[in-house]
Amino acid sequence: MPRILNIQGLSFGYRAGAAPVLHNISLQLNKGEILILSGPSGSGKSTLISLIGLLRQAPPGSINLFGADLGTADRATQLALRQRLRCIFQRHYLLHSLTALQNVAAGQHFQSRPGLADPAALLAALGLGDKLGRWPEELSGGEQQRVAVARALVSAPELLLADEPTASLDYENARLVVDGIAAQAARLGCGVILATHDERIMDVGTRRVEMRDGRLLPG
Amino acid sequence: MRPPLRLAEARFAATLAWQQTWRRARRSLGAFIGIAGALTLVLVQLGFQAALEESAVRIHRQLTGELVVVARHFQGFRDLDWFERAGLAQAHAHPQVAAVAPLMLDAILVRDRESQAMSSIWCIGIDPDQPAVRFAVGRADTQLLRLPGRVLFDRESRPRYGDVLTRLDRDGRASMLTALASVPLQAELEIVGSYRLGATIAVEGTLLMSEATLAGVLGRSRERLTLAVLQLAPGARPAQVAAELAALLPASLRVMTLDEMIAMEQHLWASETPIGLIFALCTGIGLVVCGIFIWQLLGQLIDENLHEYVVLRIMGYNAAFFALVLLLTALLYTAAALPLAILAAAVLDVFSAGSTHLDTHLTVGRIVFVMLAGTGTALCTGALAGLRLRRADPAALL
Ligand SMILES: Nc1ncnc2c1ncn2[C@@H]1O[C@H](COP(=O)(O)OP(=O)(O)OP(=O)(O)O)[C@@H](O)[C@H]1O
Ligand SMILES: [Mg+2]
Repeated sequence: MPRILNIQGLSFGYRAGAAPVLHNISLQLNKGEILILSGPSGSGKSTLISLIGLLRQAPPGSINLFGADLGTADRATQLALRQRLRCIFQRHYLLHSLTALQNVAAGQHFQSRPGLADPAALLAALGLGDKLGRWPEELSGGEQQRVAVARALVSAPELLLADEPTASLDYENARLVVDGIAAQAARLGCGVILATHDERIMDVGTRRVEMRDGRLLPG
Repeated sequence: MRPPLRLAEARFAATLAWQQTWRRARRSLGAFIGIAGALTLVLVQLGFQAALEESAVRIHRQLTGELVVVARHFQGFRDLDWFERAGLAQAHAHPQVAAVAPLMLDAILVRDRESQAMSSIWCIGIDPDQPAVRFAVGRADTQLLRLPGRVLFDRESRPRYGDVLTRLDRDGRASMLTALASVPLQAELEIVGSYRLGATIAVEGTLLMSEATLAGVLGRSRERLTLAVLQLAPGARPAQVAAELAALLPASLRVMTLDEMIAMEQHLWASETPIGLIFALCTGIGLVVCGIFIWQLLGQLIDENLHEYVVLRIMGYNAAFFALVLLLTALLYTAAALPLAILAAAVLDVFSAGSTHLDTHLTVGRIVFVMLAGTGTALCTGALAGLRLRRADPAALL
């Protein structure tokens, strides 16, 4: 199994001098894996996701993504790496003035591996085939989140980072979202890190790690 | 190398700009009206400026010839220079000159008989047999001006001269009394008819009379002319005749084409009076106000969509894409506001024309200018607004 991500001894603090938020984290992710990152609130899940997803500058020498060290990568490399991964969040962040289909199509212009995903087909596969022309506000929370999933996956990323994507959904909708993620990730051969403390959906993972106070629990 | 913006992205930018414009049309109504209002102001401003600029050469445009002879140091109509008629002999003699029409200009003071109020009025002194101004040619009442003291009155003068027009229309004649401190005897000017010319910013009204009458009123020599208009023979080249005459005429005279004189007057007006500057300033302020409204609108748009734009940014959309979205949005609002502004300016024109006695009608040129200036403003504002996006932190999405 090709390795996507290799984290070795990562420690991170928001301010120099202040106590670090992440302590000596080591973690690997292979292609096709769905890793559940669980842990109580404040344990550092979002922080870790933001570092892997290049939303924050990572410290040098600790995060290796697609073979490149995030801490020392130059701007061009960072941009290129960003194209190969996608993030989804607790909120859907769909553009209000675009329809569901247009929102998904917006993700298509930067395909990591071209030709793998079609916006309409992807929406249909996520159960939204009859809602392509809806504005975001005309969709339920679960449907909105599935559109966001489609927008992320339409570029056929090699890594999907999802931070609490089901936190504001009821069980049925949460199920639809994570099952959609799992099915499409499997189809696209995309690694997934799903940060959540939602026990109801953890079964979609192929592996699970638990965080506590900025540390990964052994086992 | 990847271009800064691929076609597909540019098309998406256009879709986004278009949809976010009409999807929030109702919410941006205020800013939209602001933009339209500012553009209206600019249009009206430019209309006044053009009307004033044009009015400054109103008499020039009436001159019945291709060339004019003036005093060597003639600067324009603001400070009138003069020369001796005798100097024109060589002009009469030139084979390509068909006619020489003298013109004497001066402002005088008249006193209203009823209110005793003083007003200044411009006098255009012509030779009734060889009128130097087009509006006097071929009129029966021009011949009446041969009698001393007879004048024609400009119906388009500002209403400053009492009920002259009413009396003229009712009785067929009216009179004015000159009130000049420099002459011992005041003259009674008998108005025997009227014509239409129009006021300017400096000239509130005009009288047409023979140069003899004007010289008499002023106590000035009949031989001192303001200018002479040369009508050329058919086929003559004005520039060439002007060059030839320049060599023949006395050094105290100067010959130029009518177009040169018009350009000189307009230049004088724009550069040596504060009016040109004031108008430029007002136009500039109008455009700045327009820019502020667009800025406001784009700012709102960015605030509302900041997270969504940041998501697009981390997906790979670059600064050029966002700049294009904002530019197009700004352009759309401006383009939508323009017709409204043009309509408003046209309506305002109808109302203002009645009170200013200036010809402020909209022209295609002015509309095109406002379109370009509005577009320029929209572009600058759009580009500036793009900078606001850079500050957004992607980590705030989590
Ligand atoms: N921008 C920030 N500046 C400083 N400290 C922060 C910042 N963001 C998070 N923290 C701190 O870092 C620690 C980890 O926060 P993080 O958001 O990663 O936790 P989490 O596991 O995602 O929690 P939750 O389940 O509530 O989302 C917390 O103690 C938090 O207070
Ligand atoms: Mg979190």
